Amino acid sequence: MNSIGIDIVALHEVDIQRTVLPQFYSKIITAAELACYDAAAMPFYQYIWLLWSVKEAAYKCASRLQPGLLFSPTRTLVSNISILATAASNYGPELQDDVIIAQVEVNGLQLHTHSVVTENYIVSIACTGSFDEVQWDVRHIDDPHPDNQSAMVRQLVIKELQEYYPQPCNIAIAKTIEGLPIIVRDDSIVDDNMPLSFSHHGHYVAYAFVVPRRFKCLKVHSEPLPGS
Amino acid sequence: MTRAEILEELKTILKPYTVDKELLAGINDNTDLIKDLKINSANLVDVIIDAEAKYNVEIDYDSAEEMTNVGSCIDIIMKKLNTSE
Repeated sequence: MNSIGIDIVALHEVDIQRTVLPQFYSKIITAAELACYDAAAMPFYQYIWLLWSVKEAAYKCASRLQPGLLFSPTRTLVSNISILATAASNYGPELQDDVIIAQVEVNGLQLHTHSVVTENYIVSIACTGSFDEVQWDVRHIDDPHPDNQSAMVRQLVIKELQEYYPQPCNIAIAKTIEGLPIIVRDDSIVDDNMPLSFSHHGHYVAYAFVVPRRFKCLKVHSEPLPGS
Repeated sequence: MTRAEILEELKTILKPYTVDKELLAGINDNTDLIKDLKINSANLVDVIIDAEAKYNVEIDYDSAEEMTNVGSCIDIIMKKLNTSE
């Protein structure tokens, strides 16, 4: 079974002064992760929130495979952090920022993550399969109320998902009893071969879902989404 | 300190991170911080730090990993208060 997890941190929403206090960051990163910090790569507070988003994305990915798993940042271990130049990635020319890759161990499961750091947000995606099969996006929204965040991210992902269904159908997002989102087609068919994940923080929403490679050819058209 | 007293103080701790502050009036042991109060997960460490400052205790994230609802928050705080006495 494939799984995926995404997490976004809106950098304007975080308290930078608090983030750099040992009392704060020691609840998120381990001593080994602290030792890996490279001051030339990014400010320290961004490193902390990068690791937070990597760990949260990995936790979301793992919790689909291990229901009931609790999020424990200091027991979710990040290693082998490195930069994958955009030109070498599969995200295409539209992505201007480098992709940061990392390895994560969460409750015995080894996952890989891809992250993008911009001046406004950090987004991380963890998946069990190939990143070639991941469709993801980040959008700015005007109203950061949680109800609007939730509505907007669902609207965006449903519009994108419809590109992969050659026949018109009614797509809805439901939740499993563990609270994980799932795709429901025509009110009854659960498409659990396309796991998806949402995240929102402040004025940013993000989604990621797995498109099995054999489905990619089904994409019928690729109009830009509203606001793109 | 009773559970009821800690519950009242928790409302103050949770307030800065809760968008719909009127929801705080009706919280009980079963209120989920993320699902019910819509607190962003990125603020959970803030909640722990603020609780530490309020009660002068230390709550590491691993012992706080079950602080997902109001009841478990009160459990952890009471446990730490009893340990520090």
